[in-house]
Amino acid sequence: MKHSKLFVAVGLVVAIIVQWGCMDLAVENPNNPDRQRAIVSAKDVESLISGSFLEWWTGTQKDANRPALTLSTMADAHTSSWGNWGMQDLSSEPRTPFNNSPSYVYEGVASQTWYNMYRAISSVNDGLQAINGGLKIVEGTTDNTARARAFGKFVQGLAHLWLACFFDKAFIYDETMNVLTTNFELKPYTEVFQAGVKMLEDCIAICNTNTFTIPNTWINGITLTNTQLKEVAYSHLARYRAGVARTPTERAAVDWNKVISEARAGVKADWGPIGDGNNWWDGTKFRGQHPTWTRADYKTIGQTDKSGRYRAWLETPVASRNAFVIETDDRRITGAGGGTTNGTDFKYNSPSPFRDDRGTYHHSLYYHARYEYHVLQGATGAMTSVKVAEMDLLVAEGLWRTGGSLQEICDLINKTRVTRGQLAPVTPAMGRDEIFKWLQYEKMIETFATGGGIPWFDRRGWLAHDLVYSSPGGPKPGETQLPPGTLIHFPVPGKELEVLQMAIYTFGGVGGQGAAPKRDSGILASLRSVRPE
Amino acid sequence: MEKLPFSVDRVTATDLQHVPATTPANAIRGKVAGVKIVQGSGQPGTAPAVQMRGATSINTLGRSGGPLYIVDGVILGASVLDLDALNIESIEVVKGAAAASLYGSRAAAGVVQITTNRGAYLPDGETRVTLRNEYGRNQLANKIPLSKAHNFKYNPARLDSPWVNYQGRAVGRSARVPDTLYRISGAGTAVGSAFTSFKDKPYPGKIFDQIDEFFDPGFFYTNSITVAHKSRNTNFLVAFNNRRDAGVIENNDGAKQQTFRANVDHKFMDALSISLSASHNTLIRDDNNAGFFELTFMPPDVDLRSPNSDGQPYIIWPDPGQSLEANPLYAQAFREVTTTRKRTLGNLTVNYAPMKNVDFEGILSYDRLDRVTSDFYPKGYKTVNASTVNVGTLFKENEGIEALNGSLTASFNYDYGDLSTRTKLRYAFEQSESRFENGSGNNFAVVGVPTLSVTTESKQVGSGSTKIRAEGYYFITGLDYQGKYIGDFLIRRDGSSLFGPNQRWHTYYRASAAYRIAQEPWWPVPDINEFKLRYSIGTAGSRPAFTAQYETYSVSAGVISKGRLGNKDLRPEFSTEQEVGLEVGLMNRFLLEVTYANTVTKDQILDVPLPGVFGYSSQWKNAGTLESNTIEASLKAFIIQTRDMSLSSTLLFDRTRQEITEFDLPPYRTGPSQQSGAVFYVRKGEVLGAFYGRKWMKGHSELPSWLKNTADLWQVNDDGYLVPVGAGNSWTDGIRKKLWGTTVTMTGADGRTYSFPWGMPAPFQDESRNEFVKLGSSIPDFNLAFNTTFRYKGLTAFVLFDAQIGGQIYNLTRQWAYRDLMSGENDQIGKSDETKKPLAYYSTLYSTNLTNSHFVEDGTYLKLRELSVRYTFDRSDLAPIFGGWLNRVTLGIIGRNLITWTKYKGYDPEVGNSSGGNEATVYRFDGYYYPNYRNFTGTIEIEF
Repeated sequence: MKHSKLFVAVGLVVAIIVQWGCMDLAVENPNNPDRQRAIVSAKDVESLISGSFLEWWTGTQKDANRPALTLSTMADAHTSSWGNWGMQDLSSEPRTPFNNSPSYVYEGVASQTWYNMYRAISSVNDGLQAINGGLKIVEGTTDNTARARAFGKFVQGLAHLWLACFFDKAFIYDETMNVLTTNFELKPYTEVFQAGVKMLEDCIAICNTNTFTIPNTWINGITLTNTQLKEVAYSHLARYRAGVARTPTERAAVDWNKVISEARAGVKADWGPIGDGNNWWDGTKFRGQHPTWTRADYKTIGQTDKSGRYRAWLETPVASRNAFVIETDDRRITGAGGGTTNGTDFKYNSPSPFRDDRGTYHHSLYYHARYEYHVLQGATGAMTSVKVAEMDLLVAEGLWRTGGSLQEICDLINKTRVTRGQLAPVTPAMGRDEIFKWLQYEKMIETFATGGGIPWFDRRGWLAHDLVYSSPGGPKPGETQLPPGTLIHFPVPGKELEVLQMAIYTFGGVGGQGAAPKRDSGILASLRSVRPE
Repeated sequence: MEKLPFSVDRVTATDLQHVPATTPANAIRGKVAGVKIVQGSGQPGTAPAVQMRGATSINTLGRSGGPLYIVDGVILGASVLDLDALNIESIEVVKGAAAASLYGSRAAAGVVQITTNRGAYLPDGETRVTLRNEYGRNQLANKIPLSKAHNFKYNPARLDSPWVNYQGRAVGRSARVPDTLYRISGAGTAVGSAFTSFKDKPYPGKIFDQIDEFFDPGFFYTNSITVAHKSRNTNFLVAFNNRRDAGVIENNDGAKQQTFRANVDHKFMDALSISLSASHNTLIRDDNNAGFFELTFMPPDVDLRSPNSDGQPYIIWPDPGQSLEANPLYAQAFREVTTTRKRTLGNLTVNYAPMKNVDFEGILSYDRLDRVTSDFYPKGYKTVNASTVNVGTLFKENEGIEALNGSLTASFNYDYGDLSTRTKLRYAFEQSESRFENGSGNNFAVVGVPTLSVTTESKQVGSGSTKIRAEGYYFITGLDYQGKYIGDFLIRRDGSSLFGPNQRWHTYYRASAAYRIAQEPWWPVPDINEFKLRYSIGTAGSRPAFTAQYETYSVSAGVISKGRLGNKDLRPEFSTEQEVGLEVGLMNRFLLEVTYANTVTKDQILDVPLPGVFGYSSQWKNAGTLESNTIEASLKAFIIQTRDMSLSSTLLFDRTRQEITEFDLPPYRTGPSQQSGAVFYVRKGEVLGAFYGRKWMKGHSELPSWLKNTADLWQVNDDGYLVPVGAGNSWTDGIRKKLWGTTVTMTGADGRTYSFPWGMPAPFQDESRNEFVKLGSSIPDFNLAFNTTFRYKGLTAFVLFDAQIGGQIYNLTRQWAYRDLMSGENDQIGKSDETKKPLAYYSTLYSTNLTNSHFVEDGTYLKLRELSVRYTFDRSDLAPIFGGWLNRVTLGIIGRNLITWTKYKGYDPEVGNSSGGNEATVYRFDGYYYPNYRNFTGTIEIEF
């Protein structure tokens, strides 16, 4: 009896264990698919490619640990002394070297854009490899394979061109390379740039031989025909071909005839995605138009000042500069009612929100507000990234540099200068140098808070002149408009270098490598002139 | 317990009754050595972080780093405890792998087993009803210093319009200008007036204490009723608890909690019994934590209670022109953030003992958590700058977790002469599922209807779910020879769906032995009634987060992009703990227990970054080892034990050291938030909880080798910082010699020229000219607790002190206040000209929120944690008045968190954060959280 009870009990135990035991411990992740589930169909492959533009946009236009606003402050288009995203560290004077340590609190300003670019490239390459393997993307009776291929090459090219413009070197990675078997080597920016150009040219070639329409979900809110995609590709080719130059010498050596032809083949209307307040937003237009976060730098908006205050500001030592009211005829900067009224593109807002102890030279009484709806309506609305004016002014600069017609150059400048700014037209009689100054001014104003990096690309390649600097000895030959010590390119992020087990290096700081050249004061220059180096 | 060969602590109702804890985890504070409890946020209804001995995980992102909780046999599916501490009968604390191997891959961080009250302890046939009410007030115990001084030009005689400009003309508040002592000569030497302006002027007119304006002592009460009964074969206990804690913030509702519990035991026959434990808990918590940040920027001369232009109270932007921040009172008044959490726990235990030496136990337990969170901005909500919330927004999320656990255990207890054996075989399984759905929308079409259906813009939805399956088998045998030689051996095999497919099953073990020498007949010291040596080695694990093993692509708005690379070989973290203990009992009055534990947790689950070209951001890998050792001791003394009087005390001590000994990835900064909160640095050879950043030099010995030759140009100022003063100057000469704002230039031993702003703290550089250096660590030198209970007839007094000695806190709350120089430390009123510091001095220390040594503070404290004085009238006292139907009446007063002795400059040194990769016990970080507060109540307990 005693043992029979035991046997019953043990039997019960075994039965229950058999019932419950040997559970299936394989559980699928129902939230985020793996590669096998994410990319099971041709539609998924297409989605992999179509989603890559958002990665590029995030890395180049947003400000959350990305560089768009920081670059604008480094170029003295925006000004801000808040520490966020390295704005204070990289735009205060005297400029200091970029801290490329992975432990730097704002290291994301370099690393995040790096990883965004390679995430975009990696997704595109996965998609293009599937297509190269014979996959056809067919919807109904329509073969959309060429559309996907064109868009993939478009993003692949944009990402490489951004890497070339931003970093001193980077990896070239296209769909012909296997990430697991390729021995990747960091290539100088010139080679990365050429690779990016080739990718965009491939995109254009596909657009030339196929007819398609990019749906409005790929680049949020806008559709693109093959012709329009080609125009956007040409626009970026023109922008980055001019912008990849690190110094005035390099910019002068750019193939400006190509820039002219690419810009002329560029967009016919202002272009950019539509903000949705969620994934799609634009840092240069969000915090870049928020008077608490950023202001417009006098070096950009003060050039037409008639009151003499801008001139006095320039003549004042940097540390002693402070905010002032502009008096200008440019109705984009102020209203007709005077310096404390709002212009069409900039608004008066006093006082400046920045702390005195971080440099009163950061202070400005104006902020950019041309696309202020993006701030006021929760990061929605058009996020203009490429403007027709940018293309016009690239053509104008190309003409200026290739000995083109001064009248044609003036006409291109006056398109916005006169109509929007209500300023007196520039004329050939003003002379080449004067015209070029106002060309630069026009581009700084018209492209303000549009494509990420534009003012920094331009000012590292533009020579300093009296509207921008007024050191006692005047600008020196070969000096850029970037304050001395400003980074002219970023190092490969320290975080990536650590993963690659490579030595960390950096750029910037007055007299440092990879920085705008040091501008001597007149006295020091004269001392130098009598001292052997 | 005396026959256990490893350390398990037990806290009983007797220990808990004096000062019922506000949360169950707080109930073991100061009662168990080696357990660190940090109530990182004082927000009512939140639980503290609990760490037993050293941390066992370097990165707990997406999972809990705390212990496993078991309530009446229910293994909780969520780490949060929803239980009223008043219902606790006892708590068993199993601190590390050496003892907790029984729970396998979930037990590396220890186990807390809670048993709730039952009717089983009543005499047969008795029914007992207990009513308990407690009522009292909360109070902020300590304020942080906010600025009461300014640095502007003003005319103190003109109270109506005191501010003036540089020309002396009266101007409005936003146009006032800084008053400077002198102009700095020489170009480029100063930034604005910050070097020559001092916050040394009192505000004209009325000023406010903004801390007092924001904080408001709230009330606290609990009501409970318990009915228990026992008959021969059946007993039950039914309890209802109601708790309300209004916290200390004006317009914040605090927390409301209601718990219903029913425990029933029934014996069908001698061999078969069944137990049912069930509880339902509802917690409604005001989660609005707005205002703590903004509060540190409010100047004292603005009235936060003045209305907006439309008459709505609490002016939204109290200080236009001087401060960017919004009125902290406004968000508390008009934004509604609420969490409603409902928790149902059920346990069914069937015990069948067919033979005297054999019994079988089947347990089935169920745990369900439903959480609804809501964040509501009404239409017309004001902000300093235009925002989408102005038109009203609503976010709502429903989350559910359901866990089913079961086990079947066969126990065999046989004696072979003097050798007793206990052997168990167990099979256990676990199934857990969680899900969430959320939605949000903007712009309400109708005012006053906070539902998503009336929002008209930006509607968004989201959802997700997880599923965990696990099972395990174990075999355990305990041997006891004559009560002197004790052995225990366990082996457990665990499988879990959380491990990578190639690593589904893992084995854990424990081997323990104890020798109770005082039980030997030859033991020569009879007064030492216990002398036990014990040793245990055991292993246990920590499981990865649900998503860790999977390759992930994110799909958002139809867009597919790469997430993390999966890892099919992902294993649980594997802790091996060795524990050596000594227990000494003296004259049955004193019990000393000393334990040394060494824990090595390898296979740390870490987020390893990948090269950019992979496209995936990172991969969770087993890539490190964390080692710790702990010495813990407890001394219990039963000093007086008579019928009328007793006096007992407990002294606890523990000290833990821990180090990351292997780390196969680049070092990284981490912490509770990426914006200035990543103050911790994780790397090989470092303690977990080390702060890294900029260190200000404090002595000549910290000058780098290339500046040693300039030592006579530096002096240590009254803040203890080494500052450059130049030849012939003293650090007190700043104003007298107009040195603030000038530069001290020196030639280093390397021949280079160096310049430093006069009088300003200077960053330390190591010999590689690296400024990113270690600043300190959150790990205390040691912890102490002391509690004592005195009883004289019906009077009982209890007091509990606890202390942390050493260990540091990063005080970001204080650092942010330096941004606008609104900390009280920036004020110079009352200082001599020799010791005054200009604005720029404090801006230097602020360092644009860079992590730096000025804000690393000593976390040492001593707290009068609990105090109670109670008087109990027993049946004999009450019979003359109430006729014998009252069993007991107890009246008492209770204090919690009464007094804190500390040099810490925040609200409370018990501060931390359990997000961003580790628990508040490690992340001792003050980031403008709800402070802990004092609580003082009266209580009445009636039993009949």
